[in-house]
Amino acid sequence: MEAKPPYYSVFCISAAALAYEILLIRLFSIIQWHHYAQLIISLALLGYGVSGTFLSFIAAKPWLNRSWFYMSNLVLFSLSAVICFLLAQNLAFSPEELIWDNWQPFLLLTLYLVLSIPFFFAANAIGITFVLHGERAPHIYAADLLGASLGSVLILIILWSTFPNQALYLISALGLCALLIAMLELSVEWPAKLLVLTAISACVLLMNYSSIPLVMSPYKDLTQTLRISDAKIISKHTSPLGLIQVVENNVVPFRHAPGLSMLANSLPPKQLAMFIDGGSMTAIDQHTPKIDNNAYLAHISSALPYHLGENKRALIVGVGGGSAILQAQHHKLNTVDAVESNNQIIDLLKNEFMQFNGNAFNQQNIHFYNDEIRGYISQPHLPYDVIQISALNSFGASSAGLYALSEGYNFTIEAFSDYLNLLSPNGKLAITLWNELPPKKTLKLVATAIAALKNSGETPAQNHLALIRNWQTSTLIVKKSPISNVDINAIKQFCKLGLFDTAYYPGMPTHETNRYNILHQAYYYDAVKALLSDNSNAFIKNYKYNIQPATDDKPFADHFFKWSAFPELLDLLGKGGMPLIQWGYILLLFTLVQALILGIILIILPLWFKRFNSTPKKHSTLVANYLAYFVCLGLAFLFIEIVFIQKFILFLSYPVYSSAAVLLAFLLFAGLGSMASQSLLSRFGYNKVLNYAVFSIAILSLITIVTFDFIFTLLAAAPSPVKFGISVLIIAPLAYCMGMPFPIGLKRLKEVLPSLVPWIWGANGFASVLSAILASILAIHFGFTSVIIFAICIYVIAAIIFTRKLCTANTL
Amino acid sequence: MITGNVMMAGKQFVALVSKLPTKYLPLTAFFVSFLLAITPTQGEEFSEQAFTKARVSMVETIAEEVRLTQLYLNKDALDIPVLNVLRKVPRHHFVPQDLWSHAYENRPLPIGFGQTISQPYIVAIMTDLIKIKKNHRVLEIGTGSGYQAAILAELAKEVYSIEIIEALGQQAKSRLASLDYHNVEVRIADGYYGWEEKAPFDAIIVTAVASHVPPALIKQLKPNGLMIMPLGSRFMTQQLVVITKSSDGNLSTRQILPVRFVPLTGGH
Repeated sequence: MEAKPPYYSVFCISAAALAYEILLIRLFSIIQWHHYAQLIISLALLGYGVSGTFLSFIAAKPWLNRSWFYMSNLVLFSLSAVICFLLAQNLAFSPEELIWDNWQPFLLLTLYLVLSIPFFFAANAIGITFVLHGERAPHIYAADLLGASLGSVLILIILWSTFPNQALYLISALGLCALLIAMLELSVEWPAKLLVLTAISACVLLMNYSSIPLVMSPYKDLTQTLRISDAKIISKHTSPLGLIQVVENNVVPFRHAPGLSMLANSLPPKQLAMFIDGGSMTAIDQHTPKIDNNAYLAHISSALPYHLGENKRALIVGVGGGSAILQAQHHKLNTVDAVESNNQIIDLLKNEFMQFNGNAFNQQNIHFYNDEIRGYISQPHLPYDVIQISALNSFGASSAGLYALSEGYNFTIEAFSDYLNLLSPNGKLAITLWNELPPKKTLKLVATAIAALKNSGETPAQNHLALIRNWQTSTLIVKKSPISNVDINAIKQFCKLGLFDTAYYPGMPTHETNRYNILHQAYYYDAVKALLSDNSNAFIKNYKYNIQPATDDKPFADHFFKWSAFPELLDLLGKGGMPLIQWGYILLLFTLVQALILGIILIILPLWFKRFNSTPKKHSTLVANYLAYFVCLGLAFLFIEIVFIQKFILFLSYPVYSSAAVLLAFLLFAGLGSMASQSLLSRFGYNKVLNYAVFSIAILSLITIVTFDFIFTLLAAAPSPVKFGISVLIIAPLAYCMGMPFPIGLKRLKEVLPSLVPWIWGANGFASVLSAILASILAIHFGFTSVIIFAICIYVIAAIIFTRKLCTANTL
Repeated sequence: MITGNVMMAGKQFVALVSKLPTKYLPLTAFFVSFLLAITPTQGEEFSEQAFTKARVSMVETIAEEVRLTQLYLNKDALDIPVLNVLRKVPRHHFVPQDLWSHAYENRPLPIGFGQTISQPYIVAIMTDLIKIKKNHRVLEIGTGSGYQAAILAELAKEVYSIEIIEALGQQAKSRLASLDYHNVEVRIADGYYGWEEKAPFDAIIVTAVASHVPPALIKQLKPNGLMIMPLGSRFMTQQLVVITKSSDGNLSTRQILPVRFVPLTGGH
């Protein structure tokens, strides 16, 4: 290879690899489930670690510095990016079968090993550059990070305009761009030129030859729906927010009406089904003239708030197919405001299916707001009489605990406080959700409502709550003012006519519970009473699920797992007890263990042997210290990055924008920091630069987490691009400093033990994989703030190792 | 068990490879040859005798578990006829042949088309809960493999079963016929409207996913009749909902957790 590293090519391949990572999450959210997607893809990054192992074995080979070796890794990335996805999506991995089928853990393993192949090649290309040009590590690292930051934005732009399966080709093409650039940057021999031309023509052929069909899991709602004869997709739209598909079936029409009373005398009209990423089905109702199409919506448990007092203004959270808006219309509200995060859904209802729905969503009193609910309610609005939230996710998935790790800010104490602030004196917050046996989420939300009522001074909380249920759904009412006797009579009447059970209202006698929909015990009534009592803490502690309210620091409203109950649940496995365990959480731990074992085998052990065979004994402590230093950096960097992505969702409303802004800022400024470290080192020396960098990281990250809420509130009303820019600016100085420790260490390593460079590159990659999983687990248990504190501690440990062990006089 | 899994794995891979366009074959060749290397060349021998033995042990497992679940079922043993039928119906004929080695394990199994055959324990409890008698006429929505229909056919006079996925319905129809279940009629249709011509029914089982109870089914249920719906996902039954229509037509539901579990420590 040339004396100068191929910076632009490294920049390009890093962009491709990061874009590929985000694209894979999108693709697997469609063919599998979102939270598994994230887990699988974070594991696929093990490819980086494996690459380190591989390179350290071949580091001494004479052909390593040949251009063709570097370039063939770029070719292989481009090819494997498409082919490995095709292979992976055909593996019949089914998360729910993990406990039934002993083969599934191996399928999971195969799945992420296959997906790690493209990352392996990308990492090889970057790693080779480090090996050959370690003295310029800061600049190479900068090219790597800057490229990745471009990738994080580029993929967002691609996903707005291209279906995810087609976007795969663009990533592959980006890999080929890196190849072309490399050809210009490096002195290329004739075989390499031939290779380039062959590779490019092969890829172009492949792209022309076939489009990539997505193979969705057979257990996803959309797959099941499409198996029924005559079902066809009549419309589809894509964006980074999700793949929307609308299905029509004229032979077996949809009749989606969860929570419908068994005594309902009207039924849903003809419907179209709308799926987001192949799940979360909602229905679009057809309008038929002269018939009250929406009458059935009055017989659903969520209609209760419209029966309490006079209601003029309603806020609908999450539009879906629009039935909650139609329900409000049926109850003759003056104003219906609907907040929907996905603009394509709004467009679908207002324009594309305008004729089908009888122009129902273009009425003057309906206003759509394209926003996430937390963003919307953080700004001032006229008070609402009803705030209507549906938490009816895909039932199968929620009952299997697949959402265990899903984080969201809609059901935290802070969110409830905001909802309460937006209510008129007569206003009601109504949340409808699936019943579970034994109850979990309903109780968690009741506990959240009680905490929010106490915070808002609306006490005693027991006078503000009501809960009704049928065999399928529950509706929780949180009223701003105390629930009156008139309200209570209305609740009783509504329940009697609809065969709903009252599970709680102020002063409810025990005998009124458990009448129509009989449970072994009056679980809901007993639990709400307990949560309202002075012993609520003891109740929460003794309940076998975690029903502690979610907060903005721990926004895991679907996390119910408790270790104390685990042995008992495990014992009930074969005895019908499978759904009692939150498998999502267990899978997270399982993959952590799997990744740890794999990491040790693939990265640490072989190198350990190799190292100790060739490295003098006195170096072994030094090697261990370098390992500790780079593992610390891998862990800490991602801890901070992941927490920031989560926290900025509150500010930027959308998870996709948050991850784009945070990744862009972190990678871009860390890249610049890395670049600057080169000259800083020559001026101030290793220890000074590193210690200042770590000190600044600690101070800046502490300041940011302390001031998060203040900044977010202050700038809540700013337009989105301004918020995006401010987010990048907030992160910039921190990221700038975080870009330094890695190249500083690497430069030092290159001076002292150059043969260790690829190994360290691998170990750092391996630590990053663990870090992503570990950050989720720590956040669930300790909250985001604590994860930042952990990260700071790890950075400090790294600085101590560096100054005391790696850069002392006797190692120089 | 391990051999069974390896075989399953091998077969899954072969199925996977056969789905792939030929151009990807070289790349998958490595995986396949690896699997072929570790897959035993001779399959396990299945005999009817072994299956009968496995069935008996399956029923023993179920009986033991039911005894432990008595808290919610209000009984400590299933009805003898239900247990007898479970001992009799050859469950392996209702699962794909490559899963025969798992046919009598107490677990749900995939039967293709994104459908499953329920865990035997759940089938047993559901059958028991709807109290089938010899003279009963039963409706099933969601035939699936036909196993539940076969169980019902052994206990009831007539069973009417509706399946919405044509291929699945045809398979179940011929399977039930070949096993001489002549009192089962399978129809490929939309179960939402029930089976008007054969109504009313003494019991109805709804295994298909429903966002609400179809009114037609309530109408077609006899007074004093029972309807049961398992709720949950394909591989995990979270709870059972039993709907009772009283003699005067009033409706009520009972939600049953099919497991011995009290959510509050200290036996609240």
